[in-house]
Amino acid sequence: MEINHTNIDKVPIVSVSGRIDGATYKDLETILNELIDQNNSEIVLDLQGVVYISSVGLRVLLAAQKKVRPKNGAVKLVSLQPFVREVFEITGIIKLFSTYPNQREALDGIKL
Amino acid sequence: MEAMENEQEITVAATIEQIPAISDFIERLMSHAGFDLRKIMEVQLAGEEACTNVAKYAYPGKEGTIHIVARVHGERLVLIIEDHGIAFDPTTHIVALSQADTKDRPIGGLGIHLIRCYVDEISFEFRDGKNVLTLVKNRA
Repeated sequence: MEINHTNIDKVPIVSVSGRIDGATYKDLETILNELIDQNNSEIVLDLQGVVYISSVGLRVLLAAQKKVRPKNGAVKLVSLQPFVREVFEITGIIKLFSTYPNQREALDGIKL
Repeated sequence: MEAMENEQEITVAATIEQIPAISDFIERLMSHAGFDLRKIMEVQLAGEEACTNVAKYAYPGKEGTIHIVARVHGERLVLIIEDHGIAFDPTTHIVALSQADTKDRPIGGLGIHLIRCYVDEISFEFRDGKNVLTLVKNRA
């Protein structure tokens, strides 16, 4: 798994590629926790390159969402690939996130 | 089509760090048997969830192992996952999936739900001091 982090209009964009599984989830957890600790309440998570996610990965995203929600923030999911989207859907977790087809539309929904 | 037979096995430490080894093991066998990538990922997910539960809960405070036998028989893949840990039958575990309790659902429940979604058959027995979970995936 690879993780790249940039900022657009002061909003952190985290782009992930590869597999979010038992071997890799901690790296994603670490960067999301760092961003939240730095008082970022809006985080755009681009999953265009992610082909696989297991429940440990879902738990990381759920935990991040739970931390930013009290700050009126959100983890916004971008470009879910078919298998990953299906995993979000069949677990019901998709209902807890807003999803966007691209980064621009995710950013458009953020009031700066 | 000529019936294809292939069986392989692997034993790994019951830790989450071994998930890639298990996923690679599943991919090698299924790819060799001609399963498509989507089916391979579905079985990898079911296998990861089952083994993650073993790693987290089967051997509290001690080390243990997971033994996996994968067998392709014609149009079916059979994955047998064994451990010597605490007896736990995931086939009878109740998984709550209503939207209201999604936030608080135990993660183990999520994993078990994913296993059930992505294999065609699931069965369990506690035999000779071992948890034996059998997952079956059909090619079609």
